[in-house]
Amino acid sequence: MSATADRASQTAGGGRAKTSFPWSRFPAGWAVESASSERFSARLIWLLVPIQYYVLTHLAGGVAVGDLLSVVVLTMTSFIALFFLSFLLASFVAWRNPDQDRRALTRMWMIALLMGTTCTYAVFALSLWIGIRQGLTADVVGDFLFWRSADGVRIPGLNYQTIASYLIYSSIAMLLILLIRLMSWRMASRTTAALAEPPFFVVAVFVTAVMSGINIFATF
Amino acid sequence: MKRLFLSAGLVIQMCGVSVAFDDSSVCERLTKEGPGLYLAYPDGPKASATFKCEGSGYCFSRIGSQNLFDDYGRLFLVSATTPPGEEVVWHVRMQTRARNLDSADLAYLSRPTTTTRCSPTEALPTFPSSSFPLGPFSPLNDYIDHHEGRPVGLLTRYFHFQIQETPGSKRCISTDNRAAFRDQKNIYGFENVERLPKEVAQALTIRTAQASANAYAGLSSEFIYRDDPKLPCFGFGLPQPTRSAFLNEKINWAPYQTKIWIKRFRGKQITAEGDANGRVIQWLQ
Repeated sequence: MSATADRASQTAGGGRAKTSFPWSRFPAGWAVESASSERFSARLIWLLVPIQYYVLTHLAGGVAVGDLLSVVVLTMTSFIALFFLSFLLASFVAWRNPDQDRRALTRMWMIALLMGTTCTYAVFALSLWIGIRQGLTADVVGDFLFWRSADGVRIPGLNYQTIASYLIYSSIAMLLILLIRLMSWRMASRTTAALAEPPFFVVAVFVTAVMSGINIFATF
Repeated sequence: MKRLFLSAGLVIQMCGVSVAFDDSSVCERLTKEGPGLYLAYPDGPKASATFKCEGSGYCFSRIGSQNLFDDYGRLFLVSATTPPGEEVVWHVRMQTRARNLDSADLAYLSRPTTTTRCSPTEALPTFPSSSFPLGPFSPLNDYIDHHEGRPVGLLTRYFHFQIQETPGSKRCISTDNRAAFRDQKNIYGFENVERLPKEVAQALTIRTAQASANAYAGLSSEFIYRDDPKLPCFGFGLPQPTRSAFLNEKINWAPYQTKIWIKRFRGKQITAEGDANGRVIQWLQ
């Protein structure tokens, strides 16, 4: 569904409107609906810290186990990158839609990118855990792409296979989030947020970019 | 004129020290001496009185308390007899200390480039320059990571290889199969060699940078493969420096001690090669 169509179905007063299911939109609107939901979603993103610790200390060429300081710095770097990107993206959306609250948009984009990153890292960590347990050469997707390449490639590394594999993981994470929204949509009220929620595609692309940057940086 | 120079060059080479000697002929001779670890040099001025020189282009001696280090020398292992009709796989790991160099940051890797029973039609590929810009020298952290549960695909593909699961079996397993070889740190890992700190970590902490230095200047890990060998013997090169900063430079390499481990793989079964496992070799310059 297009952004225009989504917006058309929203009430002008900033409330919620009954509408069809927003397939292409990341469900971040609920997070800025109230102070309590915003606090809850802000706490959820701390899940990223232990998940990222597992990933960075189990990646080939990654950070040494026990090197907490490096992991904390890398995690903080990813937070800062995500905050910065959220600000840029929200500013762009606000510029295109002057009627929307810029501050609320920024908060919504922050939550979307942070939740997207957390979920993507969780899927990747699971895949890495399975890969290590099953004796693969990397995580499940990375192993497949490694053997498909003629000479084998270093994953993570500065190559398209790394970005392709992370894009697959972020797409899986977006699909999972979409499924959760779909389930809650059927059980709860069928309404969408007043603000233009971030498109899944954009969240997936930026999450992939941040994840690639952090994971490759961790191997230096 | 060009031909004249070429011929002259060949004559000079023939008169000089022959640096490459045939492992099989040396093995044939050493097998008569019995099992053990030997050192062989091309016949020349460096060969001392303790060496046996029999006019066949090389001199040899059993590894003793002091051993003369020579760039052109080779080590030989004469093993106990190998069962007939089987493929034989040895793994040789060496850690060398030098007077003028420490802290290796690479590991020299080697494996057969022939066909094997598990790859009967296709020879095992060599290290591709696209993935291994330093040839057979791999980053030390990759080597450590791979054998401590953080798989590095390139090492599975270009260093480890498939061997028969049990002698004569049609099923094959990789030498880094984690189900078959659980404690790979113990099998392949370097003793008292820690992972080098990442540049990220180095920039952030002083502790990891100080703790990282290892005392070894040369680290190597080599597979030797023989299909139904007539003689239970093989030769391999002497240790070399594995520090990236000096890789292509002529340095006065002064090793004084090498610790060596030789293991034999019989499918999933690994046995240590007698006194060559965990043995310390002292070098003289």
